[in-house]
Amino acid sequence: MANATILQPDIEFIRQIKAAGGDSLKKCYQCATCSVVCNLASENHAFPRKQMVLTQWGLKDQLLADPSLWMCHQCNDCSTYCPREAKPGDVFAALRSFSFKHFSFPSFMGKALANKAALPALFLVPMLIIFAVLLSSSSGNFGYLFHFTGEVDYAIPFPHGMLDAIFVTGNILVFFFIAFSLLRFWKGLKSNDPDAKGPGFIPAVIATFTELGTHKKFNQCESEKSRYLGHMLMFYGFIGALTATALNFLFTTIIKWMGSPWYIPSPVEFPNPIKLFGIAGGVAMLIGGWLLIRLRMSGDDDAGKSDYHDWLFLIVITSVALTGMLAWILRIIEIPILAYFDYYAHLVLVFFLLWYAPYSKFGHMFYRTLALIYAKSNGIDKPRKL
Amino acid sequence: MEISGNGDQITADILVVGGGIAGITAAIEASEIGKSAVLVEKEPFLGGRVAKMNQYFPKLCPPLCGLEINFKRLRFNDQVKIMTLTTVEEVTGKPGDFEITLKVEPRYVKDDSPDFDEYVEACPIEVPNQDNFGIDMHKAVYLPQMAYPSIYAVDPSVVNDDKFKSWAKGCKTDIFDLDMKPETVKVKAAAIIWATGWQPYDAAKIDNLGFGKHDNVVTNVIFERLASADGPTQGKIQRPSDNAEIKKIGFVQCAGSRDENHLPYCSAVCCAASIKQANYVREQHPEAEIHIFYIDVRTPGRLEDFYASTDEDEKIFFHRGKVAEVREVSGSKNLIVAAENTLTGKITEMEMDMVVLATGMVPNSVECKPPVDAIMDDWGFLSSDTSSGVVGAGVASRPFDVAASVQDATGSVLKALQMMNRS
Repeated sequence: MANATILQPDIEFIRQIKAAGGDSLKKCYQCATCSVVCNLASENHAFPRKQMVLTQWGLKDQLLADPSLWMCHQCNDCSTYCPREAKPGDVFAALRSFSFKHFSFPSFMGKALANKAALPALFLVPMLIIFAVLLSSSSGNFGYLFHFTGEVDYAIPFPHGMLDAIFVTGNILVFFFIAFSLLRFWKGLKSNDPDAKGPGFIPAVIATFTELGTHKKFNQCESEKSRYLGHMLMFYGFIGALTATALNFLFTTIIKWMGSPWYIPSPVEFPNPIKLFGIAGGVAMLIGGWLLIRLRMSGDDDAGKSDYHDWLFLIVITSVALTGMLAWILRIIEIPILAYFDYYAHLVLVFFLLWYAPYSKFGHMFYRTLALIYAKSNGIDKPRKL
Repeated sequence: MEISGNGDQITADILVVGGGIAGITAAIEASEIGKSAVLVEKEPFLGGRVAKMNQYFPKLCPPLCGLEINFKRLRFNDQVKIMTLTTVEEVTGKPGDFEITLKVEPRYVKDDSPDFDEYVEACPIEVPNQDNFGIDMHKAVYLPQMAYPSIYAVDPSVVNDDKFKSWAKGCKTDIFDLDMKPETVKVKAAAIIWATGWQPYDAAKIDNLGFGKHDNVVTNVIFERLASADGPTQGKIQRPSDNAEIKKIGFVQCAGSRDENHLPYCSAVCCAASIKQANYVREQHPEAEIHIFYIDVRTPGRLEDFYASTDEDEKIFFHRGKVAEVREVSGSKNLIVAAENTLTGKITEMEMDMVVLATGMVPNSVECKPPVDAIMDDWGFLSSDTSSGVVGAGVASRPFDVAASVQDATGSVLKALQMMNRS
């Protein structure tokens, strides 16, 4: 037995994957129906059959470094055809959720985002910070917040300068945290030993962004099209809304501060293209969010199991869009009491979404992008059916 | 108890339902320990599915010789009353004292006239041969293999056909009587042995394996007919689409078996059956490559030797990984089968001339339920709990191969006797 491979199963890891929606994983008997029905599985690095047995054996490090987890787009054809109802689609989703926790920096944040009991505390932080902004801005006079009619100016309770200071500082901090988490992940990816040759790093980056932009892989899902449409709308809606917010900051704050005549007075009003962009993004996010929530609520085989990470992220991001759209409408129709309350909720949700991004399901966009770049640059990501 | 009564009232110890290998065995075993039995069979012949097989595994001998021995034992046994074209309509009473109503379908043939053969030869009407899954046609009046009694049968689909009727009228009047009506027979018996056997799982329900869509995808039961001398190709194994010789053939194990979407249980015979069929191909087409794709090869007991010796064959290849995709090559009727090689983690695609799906067995008791409160499992197999007075035998109680069916049938007689003693 000189060449024996000693497996070191991580029992706690198996337990956690089962608890996170992968409870069916031990049913798998390795027939490999899943790898063949999968439209995205690579010919030479087939999944998800192999990852199922690795999970059963609790080989955590090997699994979490496997780019296949992120080549899966959860269409659940594997779960539909699985003869044992082992639901590889759900096991993969649980493994991805585990990744957010595993690679996160600082690691207590990863644990907090995975823990339902920590949710009130996680919300309390942005609620208190934004409330502090409100307190310091209104110098004791809050009467105007409670009017039923009248002009709405969000800059009075929530001055731009203070919000910008908080969000910009926060985002820089979050950027470093993400970078740190992703470095850990990249190190894991590099521990793979692919036997194929890829096109190199830059072409892989281009191919990855083209693929993400076109949602080509989502569109490969034969049994369920609403995930493709829903995700596409959410994806571009979010980019649109984020771009509009950034341009808003640029034109109303930075350019004004530079003293340039190009500046736009706040609030940016309809039909300024920036506003149009923001509204279009918000609407797309709302429709996309509705489609995805509906799919997950249907409980169909195609939808797969939805775990805490899925719901938390989907509800928060859809709520960001909803409160954002309402903030605009309530300002136009001039109902201050509702408008200010909604805007407060919007700010809290945006804070929650962006600052907790590395540890919530929002992180999937970073992990997936990186994994795809790695897989493509090493010739692993070559779906048999594409 | 001696069998008694005649015509439409019969009294016997045991009613055996199903005239296949299990039912025949049960009736003979009962009679040879001094019990009487009525054996009913819905077809005009005995032998059931076994009579349609080309060879038994692992000995690779024809099933008919074994069946004929039993057939002989039956014929010289006056304590077994055999009734073909007969089904169970109703069961009343309780264990130890059942009254069973049987329905006897009309035979439409009056006697076995010496001139019969030449008339039948002249019969102009042909119908799809159901024994060969409708692949070929046969005459509407035919002598089934192992017919009991040994007389011609009329395919029920033509009885109301005007063309057939006018031909039948032209024959000697004492041969056909198309106005025959079903008859009712009452049987008093203490126990019932349910040996209704099985049917192949409907492979068209397995939507990724192409049966019913691609001409050259067949099931193992169809393949068995292709290899049989009395089958549609007179025993010549060839491609259904163009009768071409086979150069590369794939066997897909667990097609719809051990599968929660289809049959969740293992049908117990398909691994050995595919190995047997690989040997048919090997014998007829020595140059052909044979590929068997499996999850596990399940060949328990002495079947392991059968597997091991087949595995050594240089033309027979075993692949670990289930086929989950069969598609046709455009422009030819060849097939691509795809499976992951679970030893290398790579997906293999292979081009085949023909693909055989190793489909499993569905108990007939699903469609043809015993008309008493017999205890059945979720999949229609009869429980070993015989408190209802009905004892399962053969594949009505579990998926079995022929040898195990025979043993189970023998055991079922003892169970029936125990039950009769209790009641």
